[in-house]
Order: sequence, then C-alpha cells, then structure tokens
Amino acid sequence: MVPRLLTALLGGACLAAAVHAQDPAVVQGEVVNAEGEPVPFANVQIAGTTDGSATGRDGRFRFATRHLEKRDIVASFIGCEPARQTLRLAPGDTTAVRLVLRRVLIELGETAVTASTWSTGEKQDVLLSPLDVVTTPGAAADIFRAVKTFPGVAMVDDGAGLFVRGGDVSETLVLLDRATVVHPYRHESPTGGVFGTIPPFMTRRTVFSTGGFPARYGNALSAVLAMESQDRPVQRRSTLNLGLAALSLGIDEPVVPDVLGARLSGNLSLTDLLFRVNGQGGAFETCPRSYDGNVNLFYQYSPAGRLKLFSFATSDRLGVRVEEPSFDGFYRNRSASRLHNLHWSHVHGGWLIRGSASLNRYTARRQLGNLDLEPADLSAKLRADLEGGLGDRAWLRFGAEMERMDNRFRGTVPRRGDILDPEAEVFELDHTYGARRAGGYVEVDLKPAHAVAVNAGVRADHHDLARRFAVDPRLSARWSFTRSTDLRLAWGIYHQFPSAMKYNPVSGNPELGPQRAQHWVAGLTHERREVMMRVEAYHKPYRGLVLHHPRLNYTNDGRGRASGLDLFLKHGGFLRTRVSGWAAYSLLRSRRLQPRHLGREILYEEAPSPFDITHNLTLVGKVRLPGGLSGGLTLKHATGRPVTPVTGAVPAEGGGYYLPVQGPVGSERLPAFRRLDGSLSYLRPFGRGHQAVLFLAVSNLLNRANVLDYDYSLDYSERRPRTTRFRRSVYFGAMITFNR
Amino acid sequence: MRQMLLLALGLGLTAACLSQPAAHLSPAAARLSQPADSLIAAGRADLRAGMNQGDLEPMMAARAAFERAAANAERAGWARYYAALAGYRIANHLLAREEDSKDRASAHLESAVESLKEVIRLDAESAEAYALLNSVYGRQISLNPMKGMLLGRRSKRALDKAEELAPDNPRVVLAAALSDFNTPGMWGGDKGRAMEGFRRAAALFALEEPADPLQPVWGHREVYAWIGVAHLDRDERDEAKAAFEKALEIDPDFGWVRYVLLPGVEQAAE
Repeated sequence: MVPRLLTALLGGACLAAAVHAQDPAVVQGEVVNAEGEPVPFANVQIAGTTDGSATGRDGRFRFATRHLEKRDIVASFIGCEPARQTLRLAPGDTTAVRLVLRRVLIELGETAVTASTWSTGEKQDVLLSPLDVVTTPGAAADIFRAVKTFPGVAMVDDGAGLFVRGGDVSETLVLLDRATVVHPYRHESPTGGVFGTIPPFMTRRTVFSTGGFPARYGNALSAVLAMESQDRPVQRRSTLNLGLAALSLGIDEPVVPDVLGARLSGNLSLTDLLFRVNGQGGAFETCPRSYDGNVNLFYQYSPAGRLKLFSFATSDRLGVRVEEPSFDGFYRNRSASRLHNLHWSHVHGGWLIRGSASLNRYTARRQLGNLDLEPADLSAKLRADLEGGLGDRAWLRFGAEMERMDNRFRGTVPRRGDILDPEAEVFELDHTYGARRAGGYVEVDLKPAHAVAVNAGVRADHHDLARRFAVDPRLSARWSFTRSTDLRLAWGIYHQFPSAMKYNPVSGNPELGPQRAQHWVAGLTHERREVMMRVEAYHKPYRGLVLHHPRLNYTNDGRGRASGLDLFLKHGGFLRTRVSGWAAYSLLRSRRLQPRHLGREILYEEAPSPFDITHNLTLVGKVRLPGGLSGGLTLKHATGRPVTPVTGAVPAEGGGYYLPVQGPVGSERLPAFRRLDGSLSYLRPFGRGHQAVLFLAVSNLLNRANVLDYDYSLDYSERRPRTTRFRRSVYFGAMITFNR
Repeated sequence: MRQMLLLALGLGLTAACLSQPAAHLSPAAARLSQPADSLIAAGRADLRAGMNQGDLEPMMAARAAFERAAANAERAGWARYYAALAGYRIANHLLAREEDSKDRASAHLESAVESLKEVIRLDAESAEAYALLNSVYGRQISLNPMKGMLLGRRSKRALDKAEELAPDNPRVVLAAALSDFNTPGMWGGDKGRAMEGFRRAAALFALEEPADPLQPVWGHREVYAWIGVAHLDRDERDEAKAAFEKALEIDPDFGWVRYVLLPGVEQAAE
C-alpha cells in the first residue's frame, strides 16, 4: 500500500510540477479610442474569466493568465462598444495587443439624426448658448438675427427675414412650443421684418433646421425655426433693461415652489431718441416703435405632468417715406399680434404625451398711396404628439395637428398693379377666406448598427381648399465613423399650401394645389474639444410653386431649384474661452421660373431667383478682456441680390401712368452687401448674486450705404439706388438682474 | 477507493501549485488576476478609498475590477451590483468636482441602471438592487427634469419593491428616507419622516451583521452624514456637528464629512 501511496503522491507532484512548468502567458498592450487617444481606466479581460486588468492613465495594461491557447480578449468602457480580439496565448510568451474602443451611438434625440440642424439654448449639445445669441454683435439680441449668422441663410438686407437655401422668407415655418407663429416679424416688410416678434429671453431653446427636417414638421418648404419658451422659474428674479431705444422689465416668480410659477415681462421700444442721437430718422414720419407684454404661467400638477400657458401680445407702428414711380409719399403701418398657447405634457406608461392648443390673432393697417388695407388673420391650432422607446434601439414618435386659418382683407388696393397714385382707380375689398389643414405623422429613430442612426418618417396633410392630400416621406441617417466625426445624409419631400387668400375666386385661384420641394442633403460634422466644423452640400428642386398669371391670377406652374454648399467653423464659447467665434460661408445657386413684364405682356423665364445670393460670408469674433469687459465684431459680406432692370416703359391706358418693360429677369445684381458691427460689454456682479451689464454697440461701423433695391421715376427713365436706413449708429444701455 | 483518494490528493496538490502567483508579475497585476471574490473585495476597498480621497482613479479601477468579476457566473450578481454602485459613486464624483461632466455622469448612471436590471434578472428578490436602483433613478432625474417625468414612476416602483422585500434592510430604509428628504412636500416628501427614517436606518446599521462577506455593508457612515444634513436644514448646527462627528467615529477617513460638511459647520459657527 505504501509504495502505491508514494507512487500516487509522486505522480501528483510530477503532474503539478509539469503544469507549473508551463509559465503563464502575459498579455500587454493599450486601449485607444477611434482617434488613437489612450483610454484610461478601461477594463481588459480574457472573455469568460476574471483574468485581466484595468488600463492606467496612459491606456496601457499588462496581466498574466494561465488561460492559454485560443482566447478572446475584451476591452470595455462606459459609453463605448466593447472591443474584442482573438489571441493565441502560449505559456511564457508575452503577447502585445492594441484594442480600439468605439463610442456607442449617442442617445437618440432631437438633433441626433437630422441633417442641417442648428440649435441655441441651454442643453450641452447646442451650438450657441443664449449668451452667445445676445452677445453677437449686429444681432441686436434678436434670435432671428443671430440665426442669420448661420450658414444657409441669405443676407438679402439688414432685417431679420430668414431666406433659407434659395427659399423665400415665407418658406420658413416659425413655431413656439409647437404653435405656429403666423406673423413672426416686427415691422413687417416683403423681406420679413426688422426684428423677430419673440424676444430672446422668453425662450430657452431654439432649433433651426435649414433642410432635411423630420416628418413632425409640416407645411414648410425650406426651413423650420422651432422655439421653446422658458420653463417654470426656480427662483425669484427681476430684470430691468434700459437702453437708448428700449425699456423692459421682467419678473420671475415661483409662486408655489415646485408647483406653480409665473414669468411676466414687458418691453417698450421707441427708436426716436436712437435716430436723433445718431443724426438719422429724417425719412421717418413715425420712427419704428413697438410694445409687447408676456404672461407665462406654469402648473406642475404632478411629477408626471404639467401645464404651461404662454400669452404674448405685441403691437408696432412706423411711417416711412417711400418713392415709387407712381407715388412719392409715406408708407404707414401699424399692426398688433396676440399669441396664446396652452401647452400640456404628461408621462403615462413610458410614453411622453404632449398637446397644445393655440390661438394667434393678427391685425394691421397698411397705407401706401391708394393702397389702404386692413388685413386680419386668425389662426387656431390643435396639436398632439406621443413618443416613447421601443426597446433599446428604436424610438417612436407620432402625432397629429389641425389648423384653421382665416384671412380677412378689407380696404382698397390698386386696380392696376403697381399704380399707387391716390387718385388712381382701386378695388374695394371686404373678404374673408378660411382654410383648414389637418395633418398627421409617424417617425421612428433606429439604431440599426454600431454608430449608425436613422430617422424614417412620413406625414400626410389635407387642405380643405386645395381638396387634396400631400404625402411626404422623409429619411435621414447619421454615421458616426469616428468619435468626433459624423456623416449625415437626408432626403425628403416637403409640401406647403398657399395662403387661404390665394384661393379666393376674385383675385386668386380656387384650383391651386400645394407647392412641393425635394431636399437632398449630405454633410460632414467634426467636433473636437473647442472646435466644431461642418460642411454640407444640398440640392433642392421645386415644383408647383405659386406663380402670378395674367388671366388666372395664380397657377402652380412655378418651378425652380437651389443647390449649394454651407461651411461652418466655430471655436469656443462666450466667457468659456478667452477668444470665441465662428465663420459661416454659403455658396448658393438658385433659379426659378419668374414673370418678365413687357408692358402689357408677360413672359416667363427661368432665371436667378430674387434671393440667389451667390456668396454669403459671416465672421463673428468675441474676446474676453480683463476686468469684466468683453468685446466683439461681426463682419458680413454677401453678393448683391439679382434684380431685373427696367429697360423702357409703355403708357398705361388712361391716367398718364406707365407700365415697365423689363430686361432679362435677374440679369443684374445689386452691389455687394457689407456690414461691420461691434459691441462692448461690462459685467459687474454686485450684492448677493445680482449683476449688472453695461453695453455699447456700434452698428454698421463702416457707415456703408448698402443698396437694397432700385427706385424708378414715374416713366421709368431714371433709376436711383434705395439704400439702407440703418447707417452707423451707436446704442448703449444697461441690464440689471436682481436674484432674490 | 484508496486509488481515488490518492488521485484526489494528487490533483489537490496540482491545484495548490497552480494557484501560486507567478513570481515575475507585478503585485497589482497579480492581485487583479485573482478570482472573483478577491476582485470584489479589492474593488470595494478601492471604491472606498477613492471616495474618501476624492480620487477618481481608484473608483474607476474598482469599477473595472467589478466588471471583470462578473465573468464568474456565481458572483455575477454581486459583481454587477458593485459595478452599479461604483458607477453611481463615479457619477456623483464627476458632477460634484468636474465641469462639463454631465454627459459622462449620465453614461455611468445609465450603465448602473443596466447593471442593476441584470442583478434583478438574476435575483428578482434582491432588495439591495431595488434600493440602489431607486437612488440611481433619483440622480438621473436630478440631471434631467424631462427624464424625471419618465423615471419618477420607475423610481417609486423600485423603492416600493425594495420595502416590500426587505423592510428592515438599513440601505432600503436609508433610500426611503433620502427619497422623503429630497422630494418636495407637494409630491409626498416629508422632512420629518425623513429624519425618522435616517434614525431608524442608523439603528439598523448598528445591528447589521452580514452573513455573506460579499453582502453590501455601506451606508452606516453615510446615514449619520445625512442626519447632519437634515439638522442643518433645520438650522440645528450643534446637532448637525454631533452627527458628523459620529460619522467620523465610524470612518475617520470619510472625505465628504471630514473635508466638506464638518468644516462647513465649524466655519459657520465661527
């Protein structure tokens, strides 16, 4: 027995010695990200075992293992897809390995997939903070003007009108908390208006999409500006703003903490003093002035639900001298707008439900020669949206909206086109036109593969006057092929119905259908630390555009196309980095079928559209100076817009007026548009969390008389350039915020 | 029979030889090559040290160790629980000490939720996992109010389940008290009830004797920190100071109390 025992013990010991003689394998190497940068504190292990190590600060690791032969080694880190590699491990060998971790696709959300989207607000992923908006020289603390510094928006004039990628200003849909802002501009003009209606401090976030936007947005051919109003205040705050042309007061009051809150604000804008101080204003009979007031109430009725009532009222007026061939006098305009929106959001069973009911009322009176019109619009809209996750890789959204729009026109309009002489014949109007549009959409965000996200959707809209449906499929995709670089592609069909007024049987055409555009977008975005670059190319063919017709008034025979390239380069952020700013450049070619007036006849030519601004360049630079000072400059340069020259005139029948004979459409261009704006601000905190900001802005520093159009004499024999009324001007003021 | 015994003896000797660490490996590498229990123990020590010193590096190393330990099927539940705890602590550390860390902290919290869901899948009766899940959801809600609307109900459900499974588990009682303390009164929060909960949790922690060495034991020092914070909320500085000193009695290296809370009370008194 003893010999057997000894034999067994000896056998076991020999076996052990033999196995022990097999040295462990050593695995060493590094874990890097897609850019080759080391990933510290990543976990590395032999799959299915506890053998492994964490990487050090330099991303390197080393460990020993007795799990030999063919083995999988896995590296993992929060926010990254695990990296796996198969190794052959031999005893005593040291195997080197390099594992590359790729970022998991970011959470699906508003801007995760969509191409051509820019945003402002407080979220971490936004492009410009609210501070960036209000400190952009030349933007006059106006969201629309700040957004105009992004690529894709043509610089047609000094105003706030958003002409996006070859589209008209009417092709940009403006939303506030999903309610349509029917008249989004103050001091309206054919190119939009001087400012946006909604002051920046009422909004917390703005998403601006210049193309390829998803199916949740309907009835817009070119672009969407979607603003979200401020949320419930969490602390008491008063803000007083006093400037050369404005006085405003804002109060934030958390009435019942966490439950009920209110924000109240009022603004008064009077430009008389501003123009007087700057030696201008001679052209104005009434300098631009406006008033607005806002009441914003919040009720958080449960942890899962809240109500928000946004009520906004504004009115503005101006009187300015205008020289038209048939009339030399004043254009007078006054308008008032009210927007009420009740917004509800609630979470039920993992679904986020949002609803809104809005009412938008607009009245105006416009007088120019024999044109004396009192338009009034009333728009009511109901909207509901639901969204929720379908597993880990899909997010579903669907919703519906119903909109009623009434246009009322009362007053007189010239019987002969542009003949504005007060003695000339007029049409007397008193008509109301109403239209209803109902639409629905469904969208799904998918993650079909690593670092790829897709948004697919479709929407359908029905318009009662057009008596037809428009169906818009849309698709966009994003491939994050490195941690900092994305490729985005988008395609979609977009329809927009003409305004109700254009369907009237007297001066419109009841047979009009929707206008249609197709968006093709491809872009690259690269973000690394403080630098962000984006380049996008697009092509946008149009058809069914509303075109003036001598007999039918309007038809859907219009067509056109816009193609271009947008470049954007941004560095840093205001106050976050000492120097910050961005450069935006757009290259555009936009052509449309347009009428050419040859006296009493009309020809149609495909020619550069009136907003075909070939080159648009905006440079914004800001610097933080010592002692609470900061300053900035904005330079804008744009090709002059196309104009159609008048080469002659023929007498109109009776009245001694003339009808123009035009040269080729869009065959000339205005001189290039250039403008330099500067600003300086001084921030001074005081007391317990209060602060004061003193600011000085100089607009149009070079005092350049940018030409906006040409005016003609009565018989069209003389042409004079019409230049901007906003020459070099100085503005100063202070904003004081009291936090209680 | 005897032959079988001999064979077993021989194999035992073999295993003993194999379990010796290789002499040429660094101590760290050798430690990290040890089996799951050692990895969890080492991870817990690293996590505690990282929290005390306010140092992210050992906390991240702890998280990696827990992740590695999860490869052992028998220990996967505890390993994932501790990975979630590490993620929760790391997120709190990032948010308190580093700017622009919201995205990274959110990723750690998201990963913690996934780990805890896996723990619950492995053991549907894990009150510890439900209680921690409630706290992680709470932190996610504080980061994103809109998410709060989605996660509020889940957070409440997790706490209800934890209380149903183990009403006397001190970490469950602590989680409930924290929920009471941080929830506004309108939505069911109650600071008086929170203080009662903290005190009850403190008593339960004093009695806690874990049967399983891997079972969580954290929370004893934390509950006194929260008792102190609750006293501060009532402007009771002396009571707060006494509570903070009690927390330091339990763990003299507790960084949050030692470097933040207690000096704050003492400075205010001066």
